[in-house]
Amino acid sequence: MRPIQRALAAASVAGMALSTAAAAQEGIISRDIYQDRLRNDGNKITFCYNPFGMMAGFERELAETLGMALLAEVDFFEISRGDLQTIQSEYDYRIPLTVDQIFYMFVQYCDAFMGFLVNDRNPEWVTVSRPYLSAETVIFSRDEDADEIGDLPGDTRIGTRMMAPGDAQLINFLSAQRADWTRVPYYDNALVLERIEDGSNTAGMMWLPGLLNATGGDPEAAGYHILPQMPFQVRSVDVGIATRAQDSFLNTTLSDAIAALQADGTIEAMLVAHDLARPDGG
Amino acid sequence: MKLRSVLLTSVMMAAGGAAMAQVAPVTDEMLANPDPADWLTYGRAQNNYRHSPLTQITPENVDDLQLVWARGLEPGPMQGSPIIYDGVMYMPNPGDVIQAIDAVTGDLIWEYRRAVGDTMLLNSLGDRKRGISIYEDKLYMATWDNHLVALDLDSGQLAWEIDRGQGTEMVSNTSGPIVANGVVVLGSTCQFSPFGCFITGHDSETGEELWRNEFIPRPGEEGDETWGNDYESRWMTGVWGQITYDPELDLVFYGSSGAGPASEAQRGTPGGTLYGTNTRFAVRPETGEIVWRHQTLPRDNWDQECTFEMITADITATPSESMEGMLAIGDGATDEMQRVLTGIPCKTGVMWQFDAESGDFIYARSTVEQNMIESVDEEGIVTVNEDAVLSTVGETVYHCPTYLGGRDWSPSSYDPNSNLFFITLSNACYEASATDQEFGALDVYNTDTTSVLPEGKDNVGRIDAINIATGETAWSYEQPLPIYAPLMSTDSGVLFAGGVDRVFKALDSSTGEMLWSTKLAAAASGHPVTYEVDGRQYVAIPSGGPSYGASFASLVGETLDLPTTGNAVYVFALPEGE
Repeated sequence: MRPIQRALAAASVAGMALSTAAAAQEGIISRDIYQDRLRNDGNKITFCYNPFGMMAGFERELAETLGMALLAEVDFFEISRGDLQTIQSEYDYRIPLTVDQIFYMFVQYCDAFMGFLVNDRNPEWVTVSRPYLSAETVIFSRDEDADEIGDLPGDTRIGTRMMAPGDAQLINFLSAQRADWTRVPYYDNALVLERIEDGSNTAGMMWLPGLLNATGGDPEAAGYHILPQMPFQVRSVDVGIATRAQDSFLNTTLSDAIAALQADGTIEAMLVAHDLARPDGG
Repeated sequence: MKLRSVLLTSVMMAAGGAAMAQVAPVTDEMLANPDPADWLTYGRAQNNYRHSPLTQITPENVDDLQLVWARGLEPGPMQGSPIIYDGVMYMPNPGDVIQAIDAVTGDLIWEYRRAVGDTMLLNSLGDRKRGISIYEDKLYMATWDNHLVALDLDSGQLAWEIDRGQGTEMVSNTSGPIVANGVVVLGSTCQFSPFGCFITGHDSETGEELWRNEFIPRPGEEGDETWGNDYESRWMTGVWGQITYDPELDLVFYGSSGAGPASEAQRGTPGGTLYGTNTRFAVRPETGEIVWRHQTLPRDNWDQECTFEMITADITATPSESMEGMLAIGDGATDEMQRVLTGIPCKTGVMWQFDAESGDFIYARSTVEQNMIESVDEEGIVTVNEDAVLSTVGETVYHCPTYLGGRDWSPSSYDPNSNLFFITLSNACYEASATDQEFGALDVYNTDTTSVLPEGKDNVGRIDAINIATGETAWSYEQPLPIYAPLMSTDSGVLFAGGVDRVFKALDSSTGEMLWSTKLAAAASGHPVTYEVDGRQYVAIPSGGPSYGASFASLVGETLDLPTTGNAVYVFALPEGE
């Protein structure tokens, strides 16, 4: 049985005891897995992260740096491949786990979970720290003369990772203003790039760190021209560290440390070194 | 080494425990018409009726049932269907474990425990082992990593193994294979894969792949234009429900599932009918040739997966204009005895009937509340309800049923004596919207949903009995808690039903009256079967593991006490001498 499946089974039993049997018996108080996980970790923070994701190297380094800043021992728990609920998509920030899996990882292993979006769809039992990465979404093509969306041809095919930031706005934009364009939704950002490479598509849309990561930090050198302006508003992709909602002190501590490391330029330098941001701050 | 030691264990069992005599080969004739004592396929016979001719246990004495034996099973989601042949129970377990058990004593005869390798790489759904099949001297199973395995029926030793491919890309199977005219037919699920799935036919002697049918059209193929997006944007469609074989027509009937994500706006198929999805196929088992096909739900925005079993039956179809939930009556009925294909193929809960040989449409009717289908015409062509389509990201729509269906995977049963078709249903709807703000974890549907009871309903759990000749509802049993479990009927008029509420129960199949029930250690989630050895009738129910259906309990304000441990098969019988 996989580690998380074991945890699911055990916690399910415990959860039922809480809701039924324990409630009916006075004097017996079950350990509350939501609130009172036994801890003997001392001055240690265990960070969970996805080692298969494009930000893995950065996230490990950031966790170690945060540990040094907080004078805390740092430990890691890696998602294993068997916990993935789908195929890992490339150049993406998505954590390929179900919400239940993440819950039980928090119960069993994690003090903090790297790579969480600041997002109103997050479950109520997590709080996400101050983001350590805030990224824009860009439209790009091979046409270096395209300064605005109107410069792209009428039969433009624009690839996008299905359900990515900006995808809903792209659907609306094409419907209202560019019915002659075709949105080509893919499962994976890698296909967005591949279909520009082989000439199937004219343009692509992607969060900037994905494009930077795919091109060694230099999209222009790889032949991609980023349009200076997006034709519609797209929400920023804000990535932070999740803690359980009741661990507010830890969350605040991590947020403060992130702020300090941003203020002195440490995080920016790390993002650039891992091809997740431009040296100019873009 | 692990596998070798396990096999050694199984040999020792055979030598020192309940030894098994050499079994007679299972023939095509036996699969089509089993001995009354046996249960030879997951649906008992190739017709998938899940109905037994045994009559020792009756509505009058069923409350005398006693536990004869129980035996622990492997942990995990237990949804298996035992096969009973000549006094031996062949039990599929989670984790690619097959056991041969003495059906009278519950003692292990042999066990096959596959060294599946790193399950960390595999589709979690593949852990479920809903069905296996037997033929000649072999037992066939689909593995977690999408292999087809044949075991020696006597010993459990591996005979051969075929890799169907893409197991590590999360292709797997849950319902297991059937054998049709000497061909092993096996579908696949691509729930978490960014591409479409397939069904294959294999030589039962060697495992050689004879044919492979895909469902999603490639560029330039028939139906390509009905998608409206690129081939690489199409995913999820597979066949993972149970398959029926009609040996007289020499046709295999299977159904395909839908596409992801739920919203057609997000997958780039606005208005597209999605050729190949949610379609019932009639196919020659030897070649895979498609004889006829009918799409029972175009333009799926709701994960309604029309992959569930349909059955063939000889009836005089006289569809009633006054049948409950009537959607359409076609001209496929001949007014004389004809072989029909009927059942509830989709989560919509809509019952369909076709002429089994030609595919001509006879009728369609709703069961549970559903608002996805606006209308069905006289040819059986569906028009969906625009108001229920997730056409705009962020806009909430009300749709019935839910992703868990009016019905879901748990199979129906059919009593050919009364023409009554029995089906487990759930009364539930969603308020759903396609989301823009994605949660970090991947969501194959990408929707926010809130479950609600349909208007006028107080209960979630439901079993309906429908006369397949007229389409009329004979009776409807309801209970507050969800049932979400397979059924089994008998000639004596008893209908057995499991339940995620852990209750294993018997109803009067002619009235729906509750006759007997008992509460098991875990969800009664496996397939109930019945068999006879030495003149005594037994009823078996595998139990255990989590169940999606349990989540509906909150709709009726109740708590389900549902342990996820304690997997076991329970076997009941009347007291000896009664």
